[in-house]
Amino acid sequence: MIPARIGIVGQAIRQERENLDLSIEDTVFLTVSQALANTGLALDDIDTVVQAGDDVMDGISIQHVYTVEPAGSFMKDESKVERDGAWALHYGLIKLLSGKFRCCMIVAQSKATQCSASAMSGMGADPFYLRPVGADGDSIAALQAQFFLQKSGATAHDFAAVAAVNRSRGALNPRSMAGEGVAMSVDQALAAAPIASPINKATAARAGDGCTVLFLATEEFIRERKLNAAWITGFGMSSDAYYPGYRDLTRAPSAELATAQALRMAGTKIDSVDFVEIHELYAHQQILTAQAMGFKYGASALEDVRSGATTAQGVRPINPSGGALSGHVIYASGLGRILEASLQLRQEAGAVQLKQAHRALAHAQAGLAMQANIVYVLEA
Amino acid sequence: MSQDQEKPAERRAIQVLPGEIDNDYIWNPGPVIGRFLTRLRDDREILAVRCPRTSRVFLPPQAWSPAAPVAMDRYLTLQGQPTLSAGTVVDRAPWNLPEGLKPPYMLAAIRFPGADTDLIHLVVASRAELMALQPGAALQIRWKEPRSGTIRDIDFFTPATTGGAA
Repeated sequence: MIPARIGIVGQAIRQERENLDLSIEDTVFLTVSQALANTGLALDDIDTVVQAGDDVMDGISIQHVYTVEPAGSFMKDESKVERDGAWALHYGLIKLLSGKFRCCMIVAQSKATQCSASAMSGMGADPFYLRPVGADGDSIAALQAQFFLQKSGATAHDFAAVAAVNRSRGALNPRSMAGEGVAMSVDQALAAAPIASPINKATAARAGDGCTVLFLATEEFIRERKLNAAWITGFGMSSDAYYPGYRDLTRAPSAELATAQALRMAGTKIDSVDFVEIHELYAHQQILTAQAMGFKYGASALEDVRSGATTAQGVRPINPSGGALSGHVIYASGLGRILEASLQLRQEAGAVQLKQAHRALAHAQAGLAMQANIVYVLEA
Repeated sequence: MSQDQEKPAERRAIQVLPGEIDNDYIWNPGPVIGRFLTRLRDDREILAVRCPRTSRVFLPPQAWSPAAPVAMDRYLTLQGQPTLSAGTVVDRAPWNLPEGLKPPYMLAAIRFPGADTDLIHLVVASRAELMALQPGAALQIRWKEPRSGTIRDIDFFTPATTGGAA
């Protein structure tokens, strides 16, 4: 059990393939300003700020010192996580549970057009074993996909089907990244330019420029302000071994563990979950993660893709937002999954609103081939 | 025309500032990875470590067990023919494109007899040969000459020509 009720009460998201007009600081400033306006909060309402960003991507040491002011943390309690904002959210949650703060802002950003996604993930490869053999985010995820193909009986067609469903769904979501959330057939997804077999440009999320902002608040603050909240009732996280050759890449044991922890904390079971938002940086990772969560209707998570159970109209909707394939900002798109799930639970998801949205799981990943996973249980 | 009224081309807004970061590092591999790399270089030997707690054999070696707070300092040399566990044919060159290669090449998980983990390394052959490789396919090492003490002292692997034991 979480010792106090903490809710997600507001947000803003900005994602573009490329924005040459704005600096990182401008992007953060505009998104934070928009989030405050969207939620009806003033900067004085915010007690503490947690940022998520990356020094390598920004090319600046301790990059968040440059965004203290645009992120609204001037002369406030503030800190930073060098990982997806989904982990910054965990940090913020713990701060609120300490009883010292009432309202926390999470700010996650990056600008992939300033430093290629391959350089960012390639520098995440260790200098002795992985970097000299060209390992980066794409190629290690492709290796994971190859193991999953062998073990699960999935085919490249199944991965293309996930990409087509997510991107077509993203076309309906105004929060998607223009050019990424687009109506697409399975054949079109199969025919996209290859990156590393079986991954191609349709089944891989393309990193762009942007920022995601989320507000967390205590129950007392939420009642006082009469805010509409999505409640965090459980969370879990876990990390596997670093070296991919040490891991069982046919499944995601750390996602299994994180899900089990989160469900146990929330006192619920996977069958009581209406829908999930998965941080699928690659299409196969959506099936792999759903399998790790045990989120399925038919015989397996793969069967559900084939039967259509995972579409927004199906009985086990996955990524009704369109997922990260419809908009990916490194360090922000995992938090984006939580943002989308919370909008669904508050009945504020707009064009992509599901009919049945009372309880959800939201997932984010970090590291090469999902080394680390975090899962939240969110409830209306 | 006043002095600050310039031609349109010269007044184009500055949108990006190009730059690069060049910094020299020397990374310490520590005794276990250092020993593995030294043996590769000097003896063309494949050195693995055994976890004293679980008896699992790790290749490439690291100094600590992933599963328990115990040092992995029991070395063993692996011999025999490596096989392919899984591989991806890389078409888009990464930032850290392996020296001397260009796509297509394979990034692969490779299993040596006696190891319980996969070595992540390169397989080089024609696209058709790479696409035809199945899990379990026999591979052989192409050593680099001269060697310098890096993981690329195994320059890359190739599909085994004999199919038999090395």
